[in-house]
Amino acid sequence: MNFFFGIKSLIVNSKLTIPRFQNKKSSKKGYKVFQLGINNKKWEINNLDDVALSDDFYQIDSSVIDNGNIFCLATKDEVLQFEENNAPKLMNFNNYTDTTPDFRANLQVSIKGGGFSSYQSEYPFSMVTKRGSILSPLSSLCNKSADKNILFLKNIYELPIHDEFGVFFVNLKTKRVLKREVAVTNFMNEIIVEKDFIKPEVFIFTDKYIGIPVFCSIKGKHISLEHTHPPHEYIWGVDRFRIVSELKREFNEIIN
Amino acid sequence: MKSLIKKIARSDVAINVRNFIGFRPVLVSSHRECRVASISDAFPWRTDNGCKTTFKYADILGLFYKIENSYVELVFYSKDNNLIKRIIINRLDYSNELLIDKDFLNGIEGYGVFYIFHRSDSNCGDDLVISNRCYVGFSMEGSLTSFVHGNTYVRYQSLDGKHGGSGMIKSSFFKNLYRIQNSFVEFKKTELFFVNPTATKLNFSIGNNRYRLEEGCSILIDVSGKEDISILSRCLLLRPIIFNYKDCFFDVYHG
Repeated sequence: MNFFFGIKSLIVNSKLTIPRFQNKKSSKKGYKVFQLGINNKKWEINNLDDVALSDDFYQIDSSVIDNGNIFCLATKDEVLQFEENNAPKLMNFNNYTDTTPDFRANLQVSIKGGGFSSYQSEYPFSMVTKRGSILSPLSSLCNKSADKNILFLKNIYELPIHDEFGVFFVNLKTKRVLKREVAVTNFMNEIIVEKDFIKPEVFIFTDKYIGIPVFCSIKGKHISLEHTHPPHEYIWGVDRFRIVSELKREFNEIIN
Repeated sequence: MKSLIKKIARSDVAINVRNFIGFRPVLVSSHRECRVASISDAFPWRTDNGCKTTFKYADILGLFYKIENSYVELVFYSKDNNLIKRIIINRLDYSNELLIDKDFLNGIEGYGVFYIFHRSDSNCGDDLVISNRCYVGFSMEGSLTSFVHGNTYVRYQSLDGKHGGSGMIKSSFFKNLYRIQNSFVEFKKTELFFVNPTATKLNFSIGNNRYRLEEGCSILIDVSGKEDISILSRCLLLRPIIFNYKDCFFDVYHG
């Protein structure tokens, strides 16, 4: 299954559109949209009754979106089972959004009176159960000529905790840490990227937790939003995880 | 016994049969004849209506394999799959950028696709297959560039450039429906960019409109104002790049 998320920010507005249908089939009425958040160190789940845009789409606007909340499609029975188990950790409710080709929601960010940009916003359950590190080049999606470059780093972790982890800006050529930011689990972290860091040899690297890095550039009233790929997607073959691990080990040595 | 069944199920013949009848189809084929290869998406370029395309790509061989002096070859085609130009770029950084405007494309205003293949003259062993997912950005009349990442594996070449192939996306005997999971009613204009990722002629339809693309050809289709866009074809993975326009702004993402 996939969870979906939005962005709450002083800089951009966002709205999340979740299709009620799979990409080869019509909508199934039994699947409703639910909102999950952490309350008293437990997952709390609520039905969002009034966000249906049409028979085919749910639309969640910025009044509902919060950086600590996530969303999913599930049936009432699946949610009941989750609540009966006292929700100690996130669970894989169903496989409704496990489709081929990939299921896609749409997270649209916009500037008041200005432009808009979209990204698909799904967070696979397989990532929710994992810890580790992410590695992403900065200059692939940051724009030196933009007024602002922002890294939105979303983490969803199965346990209902807000644990801190490091986000490092690392220069691979000089082997130096340029800056360390602190991010939090189960949160949409907003990190401003300084222009000086936008160079081919500068990467972001996290310790302890993974996540999805979504980069946003703003210039005047124009905006661009896109995510970077995890490094193992660049490599085919049996040893791809070993090769990526070796590169990450190099970054680990730099940050330690 | 289980592993033997798995081996048979993953053979070329079995994959062809599975794809033909639509049983557990394999959307993207591997390329067993090329064990040291670079796989490329068909990346869209646009120079129509004042549009400029920015291409961002990584030096995968340098970053992951520490192979020095690797380089890339980029090959540009028109929408009708006519070769426009071929360039080699040496001296790569970890991340690299190329501006594609009409001057770069010999004055051509239009659209099409291009491919990126990594090259190395060094010995790279006998099992090294990479795929540069890259990012293409589009800017119209000087606006901030809006980026989208690669969408579909299409062609591959060996790292020495001597061998290669196409048609990595497979087709089935039966028609497949792909319904885009977004609504377009709020936009002034919506265009879908398709490239034929298969090695054969591709017929597809959107509603009552039918389209035909030869191998490697691409098309921009205006679908403004529609909420339900369903694409019917025999191709197992036919997803467009979407361009949405509203007021004087636009957005691009993969559908």
